[in-house]
Amino acid sequence: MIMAPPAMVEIDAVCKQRSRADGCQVAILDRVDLQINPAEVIALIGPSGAGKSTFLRLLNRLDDVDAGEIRWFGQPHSSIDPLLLRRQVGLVAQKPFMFPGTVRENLMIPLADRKEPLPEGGELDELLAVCGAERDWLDQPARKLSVGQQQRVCLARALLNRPRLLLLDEPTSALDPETAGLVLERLTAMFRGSDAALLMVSHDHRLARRFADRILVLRDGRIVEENRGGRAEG
Amino acid sequence: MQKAELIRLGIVDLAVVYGLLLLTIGLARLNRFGQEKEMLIASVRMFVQLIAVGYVLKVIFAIDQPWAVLLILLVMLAVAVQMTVARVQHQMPGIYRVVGTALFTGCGCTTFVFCTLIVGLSPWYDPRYLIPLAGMIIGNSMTGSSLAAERLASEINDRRDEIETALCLGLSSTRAAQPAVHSAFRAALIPTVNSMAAMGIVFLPGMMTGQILSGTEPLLAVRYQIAIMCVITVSVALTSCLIVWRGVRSFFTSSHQLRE
Repeated sequence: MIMAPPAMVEIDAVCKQRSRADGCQVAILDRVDLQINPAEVIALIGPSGAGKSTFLRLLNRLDDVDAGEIRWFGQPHSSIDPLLLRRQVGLVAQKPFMFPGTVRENLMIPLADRKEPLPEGGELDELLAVCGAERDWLDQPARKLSVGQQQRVCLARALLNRPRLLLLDEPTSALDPETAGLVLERLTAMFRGSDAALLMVSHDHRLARRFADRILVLRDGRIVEENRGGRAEG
Repeated sequence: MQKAELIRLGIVDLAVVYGLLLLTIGLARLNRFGQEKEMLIASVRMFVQLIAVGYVLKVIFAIDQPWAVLLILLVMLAVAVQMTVARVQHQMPGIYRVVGTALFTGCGCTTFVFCTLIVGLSPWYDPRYLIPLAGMIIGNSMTGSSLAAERLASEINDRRDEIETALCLGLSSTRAAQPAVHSAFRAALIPTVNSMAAMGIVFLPGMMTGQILSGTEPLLAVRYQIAIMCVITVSVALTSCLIVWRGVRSFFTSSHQLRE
């Protein structure tokens, strides 16, 4: 009998609590189940405080689950080297952070530890184009860029790790609707044509419907609704 | 070499200088500077502590036993650990363990090397030398330690976004916290480096002044001062290094996650 290959990510009854200021524990995520497969684009929507960012942090192992299990290609998360995992599961936070130095130096950061050079020529142009970033920015001080430009550089920096799963927390919140649409169009096309998956948190239901295959609604720490996105509906 | 008779200070002399200090505090109160209470408390503390330590040293010099000297060094180190921890405003996990290990190791090693291998004390515990030399090393290391610990904790706290961004990109916790570590180490060494640079021009250091006042030949006092400054710098650097190296690890889990 041929066994089916394990899903990229399997999330089983995951719970996460946080301590409030008064010392009480409050549930942020409550028995969340989910499966993510390669080449999928998933949008996670829900009200503020629903646990969306916490969920992304668990997938990237910036935090550990309190109960339940996350498996990465069938392997328990906790048994994988976290540094290796974070290169495969990239996370771009909602608030962009630029390290001191130029945009080029920022892009070098994920590569420097592995002593890899920054790709040049067509490969770099392609990467920048997907993120809506421009080659002219490369030698500019990264912190002088606008927030929207910084968001796009953050995206490019995360993509340089060639993640198998990219987690985006409000990736286009500082972009105008036209640029946001353009960036997501190119980004989702790139992921659909590969063996990688994309999970993005969004407050913009219209964008989520337009670009995602699946839309998950997270409320009070639970996935309460799952809909097919516009792309899946064709 | 003793060249001159020591000029003795009597109780009346002390009363006069203490009176001058009280006059200053009175003037500060008159002008509502707002520091008079702290000045008064600090001056009383200094008076009581120094009188007490004078008697303790007298007893220890009279006992002249290694256990008595080691006991007082232990008390000095314990107080230094407590004062370092008290000065750190931000939270640092396991701070007593981190600061305690660093001060005991850093001060212990440098005091041993200096007193045994360089000065060549005989007996090794000679309280007249060991206690004041260790006191200078511990005191300066305490200042460096509190600066290192406080700066490290505040930098980690202020740089959470930067550190987590680096972790997200697959960098190790050591690499992610590197700017905070460098900043803490620099802050710890600033007073010692400034003091070395200004020594002899802006001020005459305490130990050298004390030796000259008690009749020691100036060039011998200078040699002692250079030696003790080198040892103090080594001790401050070693202690601060241990604090930032061990301290930074206490902020992260073994899975390279920044603790809340």
